[in-house]
Amino acid sequence: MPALPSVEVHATASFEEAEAVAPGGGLRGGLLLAEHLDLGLGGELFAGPGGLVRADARWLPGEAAAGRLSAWIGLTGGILFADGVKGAGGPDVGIELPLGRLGARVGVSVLFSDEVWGLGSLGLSWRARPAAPAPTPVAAAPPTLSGLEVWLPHPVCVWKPIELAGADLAALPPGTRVRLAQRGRMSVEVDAAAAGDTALVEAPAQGGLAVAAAAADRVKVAGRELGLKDGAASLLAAEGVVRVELSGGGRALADEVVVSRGRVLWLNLPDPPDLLVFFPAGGAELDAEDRARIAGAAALLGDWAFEVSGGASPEGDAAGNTLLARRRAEGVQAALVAAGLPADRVRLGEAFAPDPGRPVEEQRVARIRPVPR
Amino acid sequence: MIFVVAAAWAAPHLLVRPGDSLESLAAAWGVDAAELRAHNGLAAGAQPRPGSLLELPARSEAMANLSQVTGEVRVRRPGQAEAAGRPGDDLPAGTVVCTGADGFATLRLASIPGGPHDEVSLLPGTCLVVEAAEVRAGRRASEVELSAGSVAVRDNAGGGELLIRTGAGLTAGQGGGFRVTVEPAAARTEAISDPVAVVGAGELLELPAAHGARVREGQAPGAPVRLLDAPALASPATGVVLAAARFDWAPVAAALGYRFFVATDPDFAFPVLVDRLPDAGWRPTRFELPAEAGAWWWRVEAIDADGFVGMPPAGRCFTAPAGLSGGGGRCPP
Repeated sequence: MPALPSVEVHATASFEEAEAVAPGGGLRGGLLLAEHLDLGLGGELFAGPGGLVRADARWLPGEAAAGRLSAWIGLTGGILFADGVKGAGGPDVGIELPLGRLGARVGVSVLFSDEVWGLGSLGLSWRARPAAPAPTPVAAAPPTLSGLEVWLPHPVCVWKPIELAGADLAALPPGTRVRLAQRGRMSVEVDAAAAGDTALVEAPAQGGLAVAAAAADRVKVAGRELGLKDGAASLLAAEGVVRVELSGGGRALADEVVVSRGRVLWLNLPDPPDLLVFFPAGGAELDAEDRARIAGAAALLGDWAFEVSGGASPEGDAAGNTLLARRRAEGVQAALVAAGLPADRVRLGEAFAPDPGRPVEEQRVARIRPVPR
Repeated sequence: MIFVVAAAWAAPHLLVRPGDSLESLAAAWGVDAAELRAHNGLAAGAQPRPGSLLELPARSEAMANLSQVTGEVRVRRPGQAEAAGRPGDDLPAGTVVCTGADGFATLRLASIPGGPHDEVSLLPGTCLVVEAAEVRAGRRASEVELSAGSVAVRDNAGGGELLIRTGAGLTAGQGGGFRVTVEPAAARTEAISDPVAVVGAGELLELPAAHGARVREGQAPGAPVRLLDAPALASPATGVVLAAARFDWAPVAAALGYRFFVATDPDFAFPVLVDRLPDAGWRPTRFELPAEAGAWWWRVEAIDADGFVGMPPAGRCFTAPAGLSGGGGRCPP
């Protein structure tokens, strides 16, 4: 425990003549210089210059708002240097009230006596005393009961405003732990008897994030993967810019969102889009660029499956178009499998019916649609 | 001269409605009729015209304060520097209150301690001056000058007389339940639950509930427009823990868009989010709320082709997932 040194300068005037072993007494005034300037005033009794017992008590008004009483008992050994001039020094031990603030003091005094009346002393002492204990985190601030809620485990098992929980708390068996919570503050578990005196410290700068995505998507927030339950997950994130990454269903996305202290951000991530592969009239061949796109989508399948549907423009005979649409879909299906997907994750969907009302280029197509497995 | 203007603004004004007389107003507000007549420079025997304003004699300090603040809210009291607004701040007469782009504020006007008061919510981007707010003869009268943005006055049975001036005209309501929005060279009023009076160029329009009217600068109020019906909210149901922002409602015919509204109370007096959806098919999928409340109420209002915001449905409550800041809140049963 760190000690706070104080330097005391004191002066004493006695009211009894100091003979070799005569008792004496005096008033002592002093300055204590520690963290702050302190003035003290006290009295002391002593029993002569050679082998002294000295006691003094002082009131140190500046030590705390209400002052503090300091009582010391000291032993001093002394030497007579010359008639009327003695030197004395010795250790002191003392106690400061309220109890619990024990200290030790060493000092040297030089006593002057005029042999007739009174005795003066000037002293310098160094005192070490324990520092006040560091505040514990849960009681750093004065209790603020407003908004404080307590979880009462027995007999009611509910959250209750602490102002209303007094009787319930008192009825709990000694040593029962209860949980305290307050919005914007760190919740804490404490002894039930201390609940009313506990103040909760402010929660660290975090914000809430409620992320929703398709159940088969993989979502990372700040580099950590979220376990989506029913397509949603929520977490507390440190205040600031947070990177949200999404992959699956043939696509990968990343976005940055700002998380703010004391706020909740709801973020719905979009469902994966369809991937379309276009063909020339009558053609069902995939070019290198198509194969690269298909391989890219396959690499990002995640927990999804793909359903591939083909289409053909309406010109020409219907049977040939049906066959062409199927060949287009099967070609894409084969390319997905060739890119490494298991065959059971790529299924063929129903072909598109030709639509005379739509542009023909849009109908010469194969659609890769991400679907739940 | 400045003093005279300031003094004239410090006492609330009463809007003279059809059927009012100087004597009836004086009696209602506990003022001597002769004094009210002299104070407003009316000749003996003359009666004020409906749509004109009578100033109550003798000023008193505004009884107004900020009851809720979300996001950026700036307050400038007369003779003082601008400061951030905080809940509980007193707002003396002449105080300017402005909300930032994400700011909301709710003013409590003419509050009788422990008794009723009138509540005005400022949406983002709103600036107003509290001109007067006082209680006389057990009745409450308040007056604000709205220079930008939009305010909503809470429906308050037995509410006070609230007069909102804009550059284009004024709106006066008794008992709240209306909105006023400043538009370029115009002001838009929507009467929700109670009729209000709208004045432009000295002409008074009695706007029935569920109607809106626009006043353009220098012109009489436009014809009342029936507000679009409240959308029927579909999902989420009330009282849910909102894990995913998936909102839906039945489309309102003739709606060009919707306003998504979230507040921390079922009366929407303490709004925390207002989001104008870009088209009628849009649904909110990303939004942020202050977590303090723990429970929020949402609703949407349809916007018509003239920009009038329609009738509000009853809000639905939701909470945040447990474990989040603000999570674990509870909706009232």
